[in-house]
Amino acid sequence: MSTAVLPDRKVRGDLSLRTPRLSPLVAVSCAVGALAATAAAFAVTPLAGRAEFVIVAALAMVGAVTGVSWRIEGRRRALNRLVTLGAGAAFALALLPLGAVLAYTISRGLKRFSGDFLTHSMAGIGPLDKAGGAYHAIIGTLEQVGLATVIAVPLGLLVAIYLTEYGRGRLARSLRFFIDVMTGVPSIVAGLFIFAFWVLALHRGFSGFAAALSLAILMLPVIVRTAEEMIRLVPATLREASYALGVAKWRTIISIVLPTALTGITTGVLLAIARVTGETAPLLLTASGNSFIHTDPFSGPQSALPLLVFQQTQSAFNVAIDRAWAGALTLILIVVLLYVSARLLTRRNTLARR
Amino acid sequence: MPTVRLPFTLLFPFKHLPSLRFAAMNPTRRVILAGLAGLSLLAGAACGSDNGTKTTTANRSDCAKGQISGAGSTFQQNIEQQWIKDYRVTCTGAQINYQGTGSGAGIEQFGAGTIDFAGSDVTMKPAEQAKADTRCGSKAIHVPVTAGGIAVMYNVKGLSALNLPAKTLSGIFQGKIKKWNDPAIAADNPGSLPATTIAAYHRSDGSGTTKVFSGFLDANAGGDWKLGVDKQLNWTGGQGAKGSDGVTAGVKQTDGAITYVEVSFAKANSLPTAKVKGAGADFVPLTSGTVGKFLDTAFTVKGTGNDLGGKIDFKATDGYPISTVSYVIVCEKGKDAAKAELLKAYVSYATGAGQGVAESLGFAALPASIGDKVKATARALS
Amino acid sequence: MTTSSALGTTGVGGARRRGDAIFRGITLGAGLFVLAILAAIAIFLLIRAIPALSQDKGNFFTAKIWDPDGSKVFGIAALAFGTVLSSVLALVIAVPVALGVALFIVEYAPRRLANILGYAVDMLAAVPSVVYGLWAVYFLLTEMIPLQRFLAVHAGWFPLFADPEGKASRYSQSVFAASIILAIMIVPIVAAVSRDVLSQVDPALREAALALGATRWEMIRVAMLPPSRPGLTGAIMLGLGRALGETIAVALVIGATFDISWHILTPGGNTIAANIANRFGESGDLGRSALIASGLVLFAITLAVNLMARAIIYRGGAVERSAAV
Repeated sequence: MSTAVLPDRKVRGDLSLRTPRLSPLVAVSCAVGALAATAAAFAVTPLAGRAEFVIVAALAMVGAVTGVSWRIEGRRRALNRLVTLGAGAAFALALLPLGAVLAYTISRGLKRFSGDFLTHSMAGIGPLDKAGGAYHAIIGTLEQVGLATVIAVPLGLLVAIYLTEYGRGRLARSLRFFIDVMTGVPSIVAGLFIFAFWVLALHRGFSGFAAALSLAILMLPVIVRTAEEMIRLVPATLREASYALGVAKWRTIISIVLPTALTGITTGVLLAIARVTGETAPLLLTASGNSFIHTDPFSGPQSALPLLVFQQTQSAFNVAIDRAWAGALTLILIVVLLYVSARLLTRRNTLARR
Repeated sequence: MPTVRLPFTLLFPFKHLPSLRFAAMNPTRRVILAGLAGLSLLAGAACGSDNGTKTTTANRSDCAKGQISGAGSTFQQNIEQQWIKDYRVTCTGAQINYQGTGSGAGIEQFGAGTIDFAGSDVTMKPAEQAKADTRCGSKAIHVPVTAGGIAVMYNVKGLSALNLPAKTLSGIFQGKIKKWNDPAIAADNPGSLPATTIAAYHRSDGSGTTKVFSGFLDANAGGDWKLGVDKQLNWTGGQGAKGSDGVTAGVKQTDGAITYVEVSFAKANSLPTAKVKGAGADFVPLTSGTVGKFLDTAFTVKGTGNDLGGKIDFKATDGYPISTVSYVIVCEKGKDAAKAELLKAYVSYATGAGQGVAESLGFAALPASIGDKVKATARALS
Repeated sequence: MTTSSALGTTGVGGARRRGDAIFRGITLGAGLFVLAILAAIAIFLLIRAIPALSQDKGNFFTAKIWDPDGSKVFGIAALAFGTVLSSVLALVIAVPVALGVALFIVEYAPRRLANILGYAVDMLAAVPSVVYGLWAVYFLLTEMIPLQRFLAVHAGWFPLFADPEGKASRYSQSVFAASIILAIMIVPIVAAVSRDVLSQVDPALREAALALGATRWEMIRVAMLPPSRPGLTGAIMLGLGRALGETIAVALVIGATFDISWHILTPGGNTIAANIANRFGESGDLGRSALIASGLVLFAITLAVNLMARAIIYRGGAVERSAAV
């Protein structure tokens, strides 16, 4: 890589002050011209189709601008333009599916999304009934994810403290490695494990708590990793000041290090929650699902939003499909709410630092 | 769903974000946290409700209360939901929960004792039966609760009626018949056929529907059907899609498409279904009546005593030949008396008055030949 | 503690040290507990997989068929091939886009806008996979058919896009569809990590390159990419890991066949995780065991990916980043 030195004199020549620059107006008209040419080509030649048009037009526009730039500004500036356009196009391309997913979910979800939907369960709803809602599923999701958080956060924090404050040598290294491997456990495997271990072997049956256990397995590595990095960011000077005052290490960690890293840790936790809230497979095996409002998470089958969405789509009838999309919209809203909260928490913080 | 868990530190770069000061809780943060707490409170408070059923009449005398839960066959899901709703109209206080997780999962969970009854499109294998018997402490029995036909649904521009014998169907789904105006199709469908290419959709997930459909073809296509009989096949042609909803979506989107699916999907999406000929002499449309007629002679009970698990002979000549029955699996003698009582009341309702809702949901009532036997079995549960 | 008091340490110091020892013990215990959970999961997978592996009448590693409940012949070959193929294709699609996004945010977009745009990309990662899958079934699959036709017609000479039976213009439930939906799901991951890595480049390097008269692209190529290479490789490996394990979205869009075919536009394809989701509900005892055996293989593949990602990052000397990897 170090061989990629700066351009030699001959090439650099075309960047001299006398080299003409492409004015934005010319660049834009090149792009428009390419678009028009593509449209003309599609009208005359056998080329047809929306997808074809978008692809050909995009290539033609980038090609035209780069080509003209090469003629007028030289190779190096042309290449620069090509990359700039490419990065911009990549960004637009990445946002396209997000916009499409959100627009589609909102347009289909709003059909059934209402206060009524949010406050009623699926109990006593026949397959042809228009009524019914997601209340029982929202309760289930909040309880299961809440319990998973209660289990995973303290455990994850303790592990993170060990890794940052105490862990040295081989044990810490392998612990860190295996937590990384744990990030690779597919969620259905976590569900299967809890099903075999908790639901069957310990005879605890289906429950929201079993679901919470499987979600906690999925959250744990995320929380350990986030917390670890946040704790690492706490400046050593703070710790040293505390030690200098004669405070014990464990007290320093609890009353100085953790509170300092708290905002970052909170963000990590919220993001981990946002991630597991949409999990379906482990819930099928652990919470099983229920049409009734079931507030007790410790015994008996319970529903959850992803389960509701998944099950309602399996029906032939449009009333159920509408409920599925309204459920998907609710799920996205909850996740977005968490995400935005997390972002606001951290943004507030950036401002405070400036 | 199984996703590879990722370290979020890497996902979200907040290295530059966290406060490096011991910050007292600032107002913005307090507001946000309060908002989140409010959200959970909103959901936690008793402001939601199970949909209250109108209890105009007093509970019937044979009502049982309590909670039971079942899981299994997705085929049964809709009719179970309807029965649960209707049962609760006259018997409030009963909580019956049914989840369509798949027959295999239902049988496993029943054997493991995590559910009180399983819905299944197939009878248990010996090993599963043994497990279920152990769990019950008595015999685990199959009770037929509903029947249904598998529709051959298609979406071909300019084609509103279609006759398909088993041999032609077998050719279409094995990719041997490729165009809608193929002579094999034309032989049974006079008039002009479009030259559209056939797009045959099958289930990509394991399904009792596939088992019934392949069972029909295996019995009636005269050796042309090479893929065997199972819940999932090693398909040689066509396109797989997940679930009845998946194949339906595929057929709806594709001109020239055909699939096999529960009849309710065809009705709900206003797509036409073909008349089918198996071992009989005529092309038969799928109706509640023709399904019942077929099962009358095709279904024979193989189980002993109260076990009504049986077999379908797809070579039977009357009625619509791609039909099947679906069971619930229950303990003949339940260990928990209260649950057993509710289960008995519910199964009695489902196999009795509950049969009346079958047609409106795309199912068929149980054939007359076993109707009485089933009712007697339901009454004998304890 | 006796020695410390012999050395004249106060009683308070002794308590302090005891407190430290206890606290350290608690955190160590938490760490060991997490290790125990992971070990339990691995052992559980192994135990549940053994019945299937011992009764397999085919060759588990080469058979291209999955029939554990019937003929008891099943093999991982087609599944593993499809898993790797769809994931690698997803990377091929996602990586250029994700790197473009990262460069755009770090280098090209105005600072204030860049943050907001970054959040928007992150939001892609927050959409639940079941929603992506449903969206694909009801919307994306139909929209993809023209694109498939375009590729089959104009790029059919390229073996991957060959469409010998002319099916690509009618069906879209293919490896290609799975790769597209996976790509959509991993773009935000790769983009976010890359953005993080690129923004860590020492500003002095960048400024030096610019001062020497480099265009912005030359600066990126000379000053930013070489030091970021290990981090970027790590980002890509993480994206690969995510793609390998994704289940429901893939199950909803893939044709689920058991053959090894390079024709990605032809309907079919399958992955380990999608096969588990498709088959689990209707499987018998041996079928479930076989699915768990396939889960074990997936576990091994993801473990290998993790190892590779770490090896690359450590070798690149980005030890500072190791905390996040």
